[in-house]
Amino acid sequence: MKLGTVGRLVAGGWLALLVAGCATEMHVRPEVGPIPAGAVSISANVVFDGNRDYLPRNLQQNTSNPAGITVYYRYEAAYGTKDLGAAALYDPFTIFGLPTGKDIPTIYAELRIQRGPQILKACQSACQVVQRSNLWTNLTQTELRRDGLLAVRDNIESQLAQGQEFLASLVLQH
Amino acid sequence: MGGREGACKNNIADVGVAVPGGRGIRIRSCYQRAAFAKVETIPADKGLIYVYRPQAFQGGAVSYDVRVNDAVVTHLSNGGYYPYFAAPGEAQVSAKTEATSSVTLDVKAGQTYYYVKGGVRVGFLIGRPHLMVMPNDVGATEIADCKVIVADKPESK
Repeated sequence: MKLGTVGRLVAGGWLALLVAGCATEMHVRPEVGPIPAGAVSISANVVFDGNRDYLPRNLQQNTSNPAGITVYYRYEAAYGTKDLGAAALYDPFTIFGLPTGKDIPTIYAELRIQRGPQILKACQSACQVVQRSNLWTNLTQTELRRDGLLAVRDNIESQLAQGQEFLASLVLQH
Repeated sequence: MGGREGACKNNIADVGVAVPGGRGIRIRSCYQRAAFAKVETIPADKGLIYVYRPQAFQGGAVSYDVRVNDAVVTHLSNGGYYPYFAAPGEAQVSAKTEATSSVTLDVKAGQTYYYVKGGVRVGFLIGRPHLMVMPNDVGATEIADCKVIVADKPESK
């Protein structure tokens, strides 16, 4: 009975370790609140040459906008990695979920709202995703990058939505 | 075989193998290929991705196909590199043994270099590929010791 309890404790410990090892951490800056209800969107000439899935959804393309507003959006993704190498190869506990390495993609996004050369508003967002790889998980860096890009997109959407008065001043639409 | 010998006649390695009975076999292999040479001209509508794998003891026997947007572009072995011209846009570079590793690049047309480094991480039955995007200065240094992989189209796995 006593051995069974110890066995359960050990199994629980390994399970906790495994779950902890699988966890993906995501740190997004700056911290912003949720998008308020009835938030407006910006109708402007949007200059962006990336994947449109990652474009903030409160931007609407309108090349003939009378206010002469141009929105520039860009993002960059950098990959970081940490490999345990031979240490993981000879560590018998890797089978129980101890990490074999760590992937740390970092995403940066920047949005500028301009009227001609004048910058009316600019906001940035950065996200770091930390994924500890082990034998039981297989999240690729492509997936981590996508999660990071969606996180900075959401963050910039929120930043835009916080300044409703400013947005309303720019010929906007609900 | 003749075509392969012709393609790498200056880089053929002869390997002698002794067998019982006193006779030996000589294996001609052209897997040792030309040293790194920078690609000088990139088509105006393409970006250049170098896929490389520095010589390493750990996982050295493991090799794998490298795909770009699901099309096999090369078979990456220890100490090899392969230059690939990619169309602008997102390029997903991936490799698979018992698990998949992939990175996605935003390829821009013109004189842009991307260095994707292949490695091997621990696996259950076989080493798992691990692809990393390296900074240009690091990639340019590490790839210098790699040998080019001939452009024979590998069989898709």
